[in-house]
Amino acid sequence: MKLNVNHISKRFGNTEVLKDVSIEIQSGEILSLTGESGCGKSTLLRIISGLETPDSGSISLDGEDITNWKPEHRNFGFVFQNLSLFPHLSVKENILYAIGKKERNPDRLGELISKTGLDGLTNRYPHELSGGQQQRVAIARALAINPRILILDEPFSSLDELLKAKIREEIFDLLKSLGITTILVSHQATDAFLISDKLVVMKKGEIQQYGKPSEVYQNPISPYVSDLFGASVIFKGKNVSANMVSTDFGSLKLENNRNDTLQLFVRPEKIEITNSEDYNLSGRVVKKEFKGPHDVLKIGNENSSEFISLETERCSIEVGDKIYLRVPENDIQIFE
Amino acid sequence: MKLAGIKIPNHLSWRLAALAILVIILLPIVLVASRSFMLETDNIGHISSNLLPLYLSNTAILVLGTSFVTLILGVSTAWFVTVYEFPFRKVFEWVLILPLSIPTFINAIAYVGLTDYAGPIRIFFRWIDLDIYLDIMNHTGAIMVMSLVLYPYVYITSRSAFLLQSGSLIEVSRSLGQSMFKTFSRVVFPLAWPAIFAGLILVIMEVLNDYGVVSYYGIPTFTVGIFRSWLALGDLSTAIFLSMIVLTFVVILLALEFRFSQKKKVSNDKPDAVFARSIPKRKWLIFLICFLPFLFGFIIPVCQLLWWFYLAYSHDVWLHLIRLAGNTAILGALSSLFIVILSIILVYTFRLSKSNGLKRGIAKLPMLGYAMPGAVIAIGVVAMVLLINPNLIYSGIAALIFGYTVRFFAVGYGSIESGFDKISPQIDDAARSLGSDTFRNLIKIHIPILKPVLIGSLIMVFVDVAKELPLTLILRPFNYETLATNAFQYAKDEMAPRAASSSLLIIFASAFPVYYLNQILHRK
Repeated sequence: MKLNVNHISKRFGNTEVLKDVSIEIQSGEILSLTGESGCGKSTLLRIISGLETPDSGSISLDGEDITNWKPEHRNFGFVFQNLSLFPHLSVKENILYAIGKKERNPDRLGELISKTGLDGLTNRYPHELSGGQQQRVAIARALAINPRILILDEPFSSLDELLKAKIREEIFDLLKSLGITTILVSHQATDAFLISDKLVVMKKGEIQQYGKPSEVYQNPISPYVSDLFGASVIFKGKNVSANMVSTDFGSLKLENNRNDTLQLFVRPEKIEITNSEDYNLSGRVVKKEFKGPHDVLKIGNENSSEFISLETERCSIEVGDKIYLRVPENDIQIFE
Repeated sequence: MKLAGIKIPNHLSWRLAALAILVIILLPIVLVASRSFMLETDNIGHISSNLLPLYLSNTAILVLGTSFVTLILGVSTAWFVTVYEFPFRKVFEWVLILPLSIPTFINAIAYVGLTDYAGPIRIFFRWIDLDIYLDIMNHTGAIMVMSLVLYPYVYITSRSAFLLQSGSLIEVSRSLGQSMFKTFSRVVFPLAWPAIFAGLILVIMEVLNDYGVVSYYGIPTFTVGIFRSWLALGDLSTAIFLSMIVLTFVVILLALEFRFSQKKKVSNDKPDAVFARSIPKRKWLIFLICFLPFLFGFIIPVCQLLWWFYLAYSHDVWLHLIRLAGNTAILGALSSLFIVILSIILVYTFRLSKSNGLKRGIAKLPMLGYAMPGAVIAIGVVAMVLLINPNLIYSGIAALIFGYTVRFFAVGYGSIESGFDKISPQIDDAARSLGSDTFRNLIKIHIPILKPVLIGSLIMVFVDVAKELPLTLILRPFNYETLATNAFQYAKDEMAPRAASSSLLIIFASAFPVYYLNQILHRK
């Protein structure tokens, strides 16, 4: 099985929500779509599942054009952002909803129930379930139709923060074990890149970057992509020569042939703080915040109004101390 | 311990006023209920063995028939307008409510005119050399003419239920391979049923309340029985006996509604009505399905009335018409003013006192009158007037206004209550902390904030009074005519064209709040 999204465009009134988007997903893959809210990822999902029609472009399944198929004929299991369990039906009835009376057999139900860990809850109603249980019912219901593709739209956004981490892990383990072709939408790249085989980053209706999560994480092509994965340390730099960039915190040897001013992005875990003067970047600690298991240092410099924030393990560095930063030049991303 | 200068407020004067209002409003209903235990008449034996089965079967046929037809018309049009995109959809959203502005008995008169010997349909048949006798003055006809103007009750409640339902429930069902029709029957309809039933109850109440249609079409129902017992035989006991049976039925209905609304399953999804309306293949068929109820429920009867008006306007004594309109306006204005003032006092008192289960129950009591057929309330008012003055033969205009007040109290009270609920209680506290007393608060703060709600309530009550027939017929003073009684009288006297001017006036006045209702629906 192979799903192709070919050059899809879509407008709502005057806003162009999708511009010439193309994606391919292979059998058994988990693909994550991510991007800031309003980037068009949900619309793309709705077009794939047939709930919206594109203005141009096509969707094909194993080479067959399914663009105009009704949602009920596509056999794509859709788990909605707000789960949308039928409130008047029990867990069992929700799961069996899509299965005709004749095709119902206890084995199939039992299999779905045990796969999704809902044993003992079959006669409860949705309002009697916890957030994580509701989530699993929604997935079980989508799986009941033996979907060609499982689609999950922001599956964790309706959960409360405390539960999120635990449920996310459960659901990810479940998805991995199912081996079903899955499309997952999430505005948090951290959710998305944890399990997916492919990651698509979208911005303003266009695909920004497309690749394996680890590749995208290591080599983001823009500050936007880099930011999606959370805290990056950003230095503003000036081009001094073909292999030298100066920042307010010191100079770095960097091969580049770009504009005069540029931004340097470094993942915080790559930066090493020392007090040995061997390293090229230096600054003074202006603020130290206690954050439980770790500290956050705000680092400034006499000749700069810029600050950088750096998360470190608990350390003995105090406000006013001068520190040196070791930044491996290979791990620096340069953006204009 | 009592602190100097600080009095714990018990709002005694407000409470006393509220108690007095409650007692007076509920007295007619209580009288009907209590008097049924001490019936003294020989007629009851005769009625129970000879007429009761007839009343019962006729009423049952009409109630079941109109329920069935209004359910189909109301639910289907509401569903199409909510989920499909088709020509003129936006216009249909509100014109489908318009038939509500035609009182059932006026629709009945118009349709008789359309189908009788001199009517356009028979003329057309004779023109093509075919004389078919079209009789609509029977059960089927009564069910159709009532359903055509009552279905908007079901339409309104179903539509707001569909709008409040989460669109993703529909989408999830479709993604699970279910067709639109299956989605509707297995998810949408069961979830919307409590709301749909609430609309259906309003239809049933109207059917039970109806006197105009059934007496014009010659179908003896309970209301007809109550009329005959009191107006023709002067037998209050029999009237009360029959009223009691209707009352029991109404109470069962309300209990059922309560049960449904208790069992209501609410999805914790937020309503997201902004789902994509699907464009059906047969969009003109859906257009037609939505157009027909509007055509038969509004355009055709109004055209017939306009045609009659054209035929008869030279006969209309304008001065007489002005007097009728004046009478109606005075009754409407006084009743609506009473209802609004009394409602404000009641709601404000409930607001001042701490709420608990009992109080919430009592706060619903004044709504009871709206559930009672006009004839039953009229009998209660008669019983009350006779209690005060046993020698009275005809009651005055005061009794009539009182009857309206009891019957339509819920219309004003309900909207004023929800209006007050929207004002934060902190505003009261803030005003009190500035040294303002409760009466000043009401006049200076609540009433100005509630102005649009109050005006809305005045209009709604006014129109209901203008449309009312059975209660007016029983309680009006001798020879005192309103637009409604005048239209009804002309129709009964086989001078239907002359009923047109009064009827059109009522319809045009009623179209106003229909528009207002639609605005409310949209704000939701």
